[in-house]
Amino acid sequence: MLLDRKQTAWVSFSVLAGAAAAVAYLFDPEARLNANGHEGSSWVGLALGVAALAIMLFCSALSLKRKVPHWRLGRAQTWLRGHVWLGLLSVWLIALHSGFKTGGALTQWLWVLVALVSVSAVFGLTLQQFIPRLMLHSVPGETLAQQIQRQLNNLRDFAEQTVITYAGSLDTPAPEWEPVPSPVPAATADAAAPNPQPAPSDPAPASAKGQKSETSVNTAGAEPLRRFYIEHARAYFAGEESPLHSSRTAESLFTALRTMTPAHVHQAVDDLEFLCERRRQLIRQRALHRVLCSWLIIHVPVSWLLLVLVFIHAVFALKFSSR
Amino acid sequence: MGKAMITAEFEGVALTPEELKRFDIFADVQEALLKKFPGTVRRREFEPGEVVCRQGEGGTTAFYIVEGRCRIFIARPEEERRRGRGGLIARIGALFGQPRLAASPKHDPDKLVPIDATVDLVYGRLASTLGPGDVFGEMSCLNYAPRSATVVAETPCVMLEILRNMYETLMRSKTFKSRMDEIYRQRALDNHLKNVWLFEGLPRDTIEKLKQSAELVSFDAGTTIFQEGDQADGMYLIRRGQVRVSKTFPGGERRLAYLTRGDCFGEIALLRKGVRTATCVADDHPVIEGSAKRPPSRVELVKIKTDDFNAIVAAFPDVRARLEILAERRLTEQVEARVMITPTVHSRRVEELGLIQGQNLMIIDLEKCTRCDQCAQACVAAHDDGLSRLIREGPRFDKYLVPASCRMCLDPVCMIGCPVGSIRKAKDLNIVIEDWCVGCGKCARQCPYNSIQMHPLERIRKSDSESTRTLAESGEVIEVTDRAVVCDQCTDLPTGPACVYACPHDAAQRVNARDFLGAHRHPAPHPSSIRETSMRA
Repeated sequence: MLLDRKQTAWVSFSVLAGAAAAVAYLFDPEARLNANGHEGSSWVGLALGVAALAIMLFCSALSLKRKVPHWRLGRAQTWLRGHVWLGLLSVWLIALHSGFKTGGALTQWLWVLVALVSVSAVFGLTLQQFIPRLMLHSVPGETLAQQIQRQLNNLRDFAEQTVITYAGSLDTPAPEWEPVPSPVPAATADAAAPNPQPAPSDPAPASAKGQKSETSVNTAGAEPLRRFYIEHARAYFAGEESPLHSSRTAESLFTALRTMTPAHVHQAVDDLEFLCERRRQLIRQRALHRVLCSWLIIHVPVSWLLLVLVFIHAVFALKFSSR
Repeated sequence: MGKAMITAEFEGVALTPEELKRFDIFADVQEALLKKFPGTVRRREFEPGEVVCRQGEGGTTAFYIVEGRCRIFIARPEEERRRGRGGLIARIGALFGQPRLAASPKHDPDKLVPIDATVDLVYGRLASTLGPGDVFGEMSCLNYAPRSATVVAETPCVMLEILRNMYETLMRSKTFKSRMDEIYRQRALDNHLKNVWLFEGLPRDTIEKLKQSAELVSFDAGTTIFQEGDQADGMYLIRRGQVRVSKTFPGGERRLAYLTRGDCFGEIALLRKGVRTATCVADDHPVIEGSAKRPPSRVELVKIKTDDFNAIVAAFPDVRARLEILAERRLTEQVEARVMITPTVHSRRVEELGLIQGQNLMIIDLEKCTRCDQCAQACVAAHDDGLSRLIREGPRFDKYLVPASCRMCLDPVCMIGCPVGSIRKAKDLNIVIEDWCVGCGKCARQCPYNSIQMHPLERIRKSDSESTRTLAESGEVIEVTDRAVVCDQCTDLPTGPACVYACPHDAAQRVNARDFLGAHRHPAPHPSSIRETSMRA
């Protein structure tokens, strides 16, 4: 959720409610008479605790609402805004309810959990301010997160197919190239053409899909390409250690490869470079996506645990309360 | 996705011109013409239970039944479809007034389901019988349309399987033409007239009278049937082929609809006793990439003359009342269309992506989107077939993703050439796919934006439907086939599109492309907008 002007109403409400709670806390008549000062068992303290519990229940309900996204229970945006701002308000209410004391073992644990939930939430909210934007800029070839592994496998296959198409085989060295002035080989003409953009829904460059092999089998001069693939690219596409992980190193390696290969192989080099870049983007996307979702690993289970302990706390507090 | 458009199977015994002459339909075809196309007619024999053709498959031939009887039917998905998600939650939701959307709208049992044969089917009973003299597969033969229904021999059958060039020759034969016209009048016209919304509830004898007085006319594809502003001389009912309805506005031409077999047009001008309000052109099927080039086809229509029409309107006030409603609706649509056609200049990128087509374009603000997938999950949850109509992939425009979801195009080319007329534009401009879709995938191939998805579905009912048994006995039960699924904009949900409603980050929006692009006329060039992002595996 981006923090923009649309949050103004919720922020204002939360601030006003927080201020009202603070006033009630400061002017709590029971606290003035009590030697221990503010306590959660006072009428004001109890009211603050109940309000905090109600907010926590509302916040937990968000994950249930997500199970039935189309039900007429209010827009998801409203729920999320309420979740964020009321959730923050609840921390303030809890603090007022406790009289800013840590209390016994159970309440200390509750404080730890509240802190974990709050910090993870703020962390998540912070991530949401810049990671989507970062993904937009740095991963133009973004795909569905669930599709990344499949796409990576496809890229590996396409890369291997590209090299086999131009070099003949990965197991045997390609023949050396001897320049022939004419006629111009078809592949050379192709190489002069700009690298076509792949069509939508199709991550593979044209040559990777075997079209090239139907028109040209000129493998001469492709040995550097084959060696490059075996030494660097294969490991890279298999996810192992490779200099191609760094885009700067990759760029210089591919530039060097172009100087070592005849013009008709340059199309393959371009394709391979494109596939490497595509892979780099997908890896970046996966990493960013993991970071973007990382806070949920703490936030969600700890929130549920907190809710359970809050109930236990409420039951015990009411049972043993002097009131 | 889908099946191959054309199958090259053409089996059986090739007939010589002398043998063909023995069949009365070839009697008045010149022998020279029969000799000109040797081997284009084959004699086929089918045993009871044998499948002649299957719905959705490619085909290039027409069949003429010489002897025997066969069953023609459309297999529909089971009533109780597989539930992708929901189950208990969906039932609880239903208890609290949170219903899920039906995958397809339901209709009256009498609703016409047009097929490529000399008979048509009705929604309540998607099966019929063909006998000697009947023809099926005409549109496959002439337009390479996918087979509209499954045909299974019920008794030992002898058929003539005919290729296009010979079938066209046959269509020029007076004997064949008059026979086809007669069969049409007897077996299909009745149904067509009864299914014209305007004529609903007309007495039997009036329909009979109309049947006799109606004129059967045909137009070459590309011919203008009537032009906007022409004096009205009758209304039309489509017997075969397709008609494109368009209207000219100051900003250009706007295609209002593609009409197909069983649809009617031209009634508004008759009612108003005035001039035509739109142009209607006999349309040809678009050439699908990869398929063979072919000459244009013909469109056959039934013309109901002005006098007959006026007599009905005068005699039946109900018809007049319906016409008034229809006229009002069409005129409103035209006013809306005029608003939409307002000329605007857009960037090349906008043109390339066809964004301007979108009357209800879905966009996702990628700066806000956390890729939580709630939009797609909401889409699945909102529909009772558990299928998503939204794929969160597609081209980017500025900071927006334009996912694969129906855009409600100004020119809905997906509607062109559906062999069973199961794709249509609803009143609210939505594209609707009826549940008698035969899964040929033509609409999905034609949609330029990958917005129609083909999903495998169980086709054969578990009940003891006769057609199923016949198929099962033949040992060729097709258990699973595809069904086209398109975004319905969740029009029946009071909350609007589930995808937008469920987006917690205010990232998913539905916009009218013209309004939206008008407000974003000069978006800052974005590095990511250089490339398409779609990378479907």
